[in-house]
Amino acid sequence: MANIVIDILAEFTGKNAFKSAETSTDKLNKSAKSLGKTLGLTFSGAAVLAYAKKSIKAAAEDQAAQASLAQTLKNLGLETGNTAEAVNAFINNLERQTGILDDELRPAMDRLLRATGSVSESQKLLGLALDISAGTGKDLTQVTQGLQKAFLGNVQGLGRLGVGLTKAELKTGNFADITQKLTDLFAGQAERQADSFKGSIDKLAVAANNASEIIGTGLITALQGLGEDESINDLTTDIEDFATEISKSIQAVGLLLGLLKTVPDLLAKTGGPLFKLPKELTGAIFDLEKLFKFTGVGALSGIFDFLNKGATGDNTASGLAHLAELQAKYAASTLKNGKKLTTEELNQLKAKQLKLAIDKANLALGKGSNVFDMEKIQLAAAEKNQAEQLGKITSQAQLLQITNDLARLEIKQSILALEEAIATGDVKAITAATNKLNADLNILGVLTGQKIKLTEIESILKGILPKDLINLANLNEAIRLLGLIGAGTGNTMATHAAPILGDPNKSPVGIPATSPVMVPSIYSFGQRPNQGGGFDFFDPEKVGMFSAGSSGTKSVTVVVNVNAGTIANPEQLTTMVQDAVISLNKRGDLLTYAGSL
Amino acid sequence: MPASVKGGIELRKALRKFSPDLAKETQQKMSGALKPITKSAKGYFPDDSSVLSGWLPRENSQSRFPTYSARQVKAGVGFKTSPSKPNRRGFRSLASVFNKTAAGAIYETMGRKTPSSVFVQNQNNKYGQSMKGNGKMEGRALYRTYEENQGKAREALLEAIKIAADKLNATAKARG
Repeated sequence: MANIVIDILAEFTGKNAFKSAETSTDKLNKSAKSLGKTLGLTFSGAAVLAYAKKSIKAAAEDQAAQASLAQTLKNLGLETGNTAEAVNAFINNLERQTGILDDELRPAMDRLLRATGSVSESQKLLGLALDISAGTGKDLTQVTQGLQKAFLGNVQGLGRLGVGLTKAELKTGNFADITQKLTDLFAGQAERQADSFKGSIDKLAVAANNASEIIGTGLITALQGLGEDESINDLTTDIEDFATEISKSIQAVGLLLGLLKTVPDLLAKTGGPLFKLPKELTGAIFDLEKLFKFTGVGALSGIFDFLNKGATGDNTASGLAHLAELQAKYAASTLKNGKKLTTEELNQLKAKQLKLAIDKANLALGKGSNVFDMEKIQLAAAEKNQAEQLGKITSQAQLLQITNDLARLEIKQSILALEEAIATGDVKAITAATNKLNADLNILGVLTGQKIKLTEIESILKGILPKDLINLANLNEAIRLLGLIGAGTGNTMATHAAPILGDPNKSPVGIPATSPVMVPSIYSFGQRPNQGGGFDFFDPEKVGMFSAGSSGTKSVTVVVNVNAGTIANPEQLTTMVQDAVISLNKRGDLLTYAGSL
Repeated sequence: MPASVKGGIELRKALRKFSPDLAKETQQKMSGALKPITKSAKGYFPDDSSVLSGWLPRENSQSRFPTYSARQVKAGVGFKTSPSKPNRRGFRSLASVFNKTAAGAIYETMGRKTPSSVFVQNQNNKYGQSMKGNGKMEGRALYRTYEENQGKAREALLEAIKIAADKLNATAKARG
C-alpha cells in the first residue's frame, strides 16, 4: 500500500518487543521444562523402571542369541564342550575391539558357520567382513551375506557390494583368490575405524549395551529372588517399587548432601555438638531407610555379587540365601519404621481434618457475610429501580411516591450503617449514623405530610369537577328543563325558562327589558326585526328566493352546475387515448384482434 | 525520526477519563500544530493541468499505474493524533501526517532512485523540481513541508502534551 506517513511523536510501548521477549521466555521455559522433564525422568522412578525393563530385555535377547549360536554349533557338529564359550569369547573380544555390537556379530558368525562349517574359517571370514564393512560402509549383515553366498559359489553378491573386483575376476577366480584379493584391498580397515572417534563412540555404546545386558541379567536373577511369588505380575510390581524407592533415595541423597553443607553453620550456631537434626535431614535419612527397608543393603550387595560373579544357578541360590538372611536382619527395623510411619500419617490425617473443619467454618462465615452483602445489594438495586421509575413518572403523585420510597431506602441504609457503627464501637461513627438516620426520618416525615396535603387537594378537586353529561339524572333534568322551555308561551315563559346552571327562580340576565317574551312569537308568525327597531313579515323576495316582479305563486327556476371534473378537452383526450394505445402496443398488449388493420 | 515521549497514551486516556474538556483542548492544540503541514503540503501538489497528460485518468484505460487526480491526492493528505498500533519495534505513533494516495506517493517520491527517468524528467520539466529532505524523508510535498516546518510542529505537540500533563497533575493534586 502506497502510504507515506511521517510520525512526529511516538511512544515506545514495547508490546511487540515484550511479546517477542515473552515468546523467547516461553521457549526458554519450554526448554527448561523439557530439560526438567528429562532430568526428572532420568532420576524418576519411571526412568529407572524403563531402564530396568530395557536391561532385562537386552539381557534376554543376548541370552537367546547365545543359545541360538550354541545350537548352530551343536547342529553342525562343531560343539566339543567349550566351543560355544570360545566362540562367544571371540565375539565379545571382537565387539570390544571394533565397537560393533554382538547383536550384529553373533548372527553374522552364525551365518558364516552354517556356510563354512568351520569355526576357524568363519572367524577368518568374519574378520574380513568387518574390514569390508568398514571400508565400503556397507552393513555387516549385507557383507556377511555376500561372503556366505560367494563361499557357496554365488559371487554376484560380492560384485554388488562394490568391493573393487571386476566381473572377470569374480567369474574366473575361485573363492580363495577372491578372499585374498579382498584381504589385500581391505586390510586394516576395521582396526582403523575402531581407532577413530566413531569407533570410540561405538565402543562406548558397546560398553553401555553390555552394561545394560549385565544389569538386566542381574536384575532378573535378583528380582526373582526378591519376589516371593515368581509370577510376572508380582515381578513387575517389585520392579516398580524398586524403581520408586531408588528415585526417592536419589532425591534424598541430593537433599542430604545439600543439608550436610549446612552442618558447620549449625554447629557454629549451637556452639556444640548437633543433638537435634533438622527436619529435612531426618526426612532424607528416613527416605534412605525406606529404601533399605525395601531392598536391604544386603539385597544391593547381593545384586552386585551376582553381577561380579555372573548369574549362574549356584550364585542365584547363594544370593537368595543371603537375601533371606539380610531380610530377617532388617525385619525389626522395618517394623519400627512402619510404626513410625503410621504415627506420622495419623498426625498428618489429624492436621488435615482440622484444616478441613477450619475451611468449612470459613466458608460458613463467608456465606454469612454474603447474606449481609446481599441486603446491601438489594437496597442498591431498589434504589436503582426507583431512579429508573423517576424517569417514567407522569404525575406529581407518582413522583411523591417514588421520593417516599427512596427516602425509606435511605433510612434502611442509615439503619444498616448505624448497626455497623454500633458493632464497631466507634462513638463518632455511631453519632454520625444516628444523625443521618434522624435527618432521613425528618425527610420522610415531610414527604408524608406532603402526601396528606396532596390527598386533601385531590378530594377538593373531585368536589369541583363538572358532572358527567352522560349521567342519567342529568339527562332527565335536562329533558325536564327543555320541556318547560317548549311548553312556555307568552309572558309565562320567562318564569319557566330556568337555566341549566344556577337558580331556576332567578331572573335571567342580559335579555332586553322590552318584552323579551315577544321574540319567539315574532318568528312564529314569520316576522323579523327591521332596521327601524320594528318587525316585518317574512318576505321571500327580499331574500332572493323569487325573481323580481313575481308573485308568491310564480315558479322557481333553479340552475344547478355540476362540476364533473373534466380532465381534458376532446383533442387532448384523443391524444391521450392514442398514446395509451401506442404504449399498450409497445408492451405487447394489443387491443386489436388478429387480421385487423 | 519521531520524537519519543513516554506516557503519552496513558495521558490521553487519563485526560479523556478525568478531564474531557482538557482532552478536547489538547486535541485541538495538536491539530492546530499539524494542520499547517498538511495545508502547505496540499499546496505543493500540482493541479491536473500541471501533470503529464498521460498520467491523468483516461476513459477505457486498462493500465494499472495509478492515475493522478489533484482532488483525490489532496484529499489523501491529512494528519492523525490518535495512537496507532505498535509497529514491529514496539513504537506507537501519537501524531502523524500522511499522504495516503498512490498517486500522491508517486509524486512525492518519484526520482529518488531514478532521477533521470523520462517520466520524472518530463514531469519536472512541466512543473519544476523541488524535492526537500534527506534520504527516506526526501519528497516534493509532505516531506518538503515537514522539512520546511523545521520541527515547529513537533515542538508545538510536545508543548501541548506537556501543558495537558501539567494541568492534569495539578487537578489530581487539588483533588487529593
